[in-house]
Amino acid sequence: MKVNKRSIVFGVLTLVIFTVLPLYAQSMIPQEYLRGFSSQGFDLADLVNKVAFIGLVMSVLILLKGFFEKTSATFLALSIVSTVFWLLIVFFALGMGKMENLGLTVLSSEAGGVSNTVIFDLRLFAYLATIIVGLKIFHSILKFREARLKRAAVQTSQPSPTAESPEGTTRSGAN
Amino acid sequence: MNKIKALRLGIIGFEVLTIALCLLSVYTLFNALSTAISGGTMNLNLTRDESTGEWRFILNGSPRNTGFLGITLFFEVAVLDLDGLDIARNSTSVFIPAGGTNEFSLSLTIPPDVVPGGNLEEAEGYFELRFAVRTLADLVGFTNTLRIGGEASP
Repeated sequence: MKVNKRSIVFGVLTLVIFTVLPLYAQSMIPQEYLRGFSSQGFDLADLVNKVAFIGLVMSVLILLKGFFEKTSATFLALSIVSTVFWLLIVFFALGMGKMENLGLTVLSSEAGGVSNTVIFDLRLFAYLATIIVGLKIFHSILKFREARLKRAAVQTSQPSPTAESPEGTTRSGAN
Repeated sequence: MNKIKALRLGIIGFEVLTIALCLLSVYTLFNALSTAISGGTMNLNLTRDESTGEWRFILNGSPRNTGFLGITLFFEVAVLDLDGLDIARNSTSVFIPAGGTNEFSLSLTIPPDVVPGGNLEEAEGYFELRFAVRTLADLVGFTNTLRIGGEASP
């Protein structure tokens, strides 16, 4: 089976950047800092674990795409899945680890009769990212159709072995 | 040009524009938090009118925006009872263009009947301070709400 070398390189790079490095960086952070973040309503360890998981899934998707031809329906499906997955990563980053917030992050803390609530509103970029992903999926479908049409055109322009055989038999069995 | 290539270029342009706007907005917001709301640009006064017994909270400021985009600052102060209902509330907002400065003033009068003995520390209820920064035509923002207080000590 032919494997695209670029997919292997990008898959490994994604795994290193999103999974290996964050997990290594997390192990270097002192526990007191992690507890400090946690008391402010921000679970850094959970965030890093989620980033590592995302990196793992992304690298698997990139590697899988390398196994298929651009004209195959599986390649198109994998392209769409990885594009949607990128959107989830954007939601994840904009929501500071909570993709269900869709860019609206609320952090609350309370101590000694004082409550503090911080809201980050980055929903605009979540909406723009959704539009971009929609356009990218549309582009993937157009590219897939074009690749299929090109392949079909090449196949029809090549003389078929059946037509060349004067007896009307195929040559595949000869020799 | 091939339509598919044109679409691809359009998507790339849209992506670059979105990333640039995101970076500019986030930079402007954090810049506003660190420079516009620094100690030297704000002046807070809490005074008591002895003739009426009213407390007056006054917040004056001349914040500066050193970010790349214009910002709208919003300030709100409120006094609430123990059930969270408003006793007094006031707010103001000010637009500051990129690289510019602007002044604002916000005052709140606390009626004497909610301050037993005229001492704010003995008052029951909450003091709420809300501060917001918005940029990119108010589409992106940050809001901080601080609520202090509760039941007075017996």
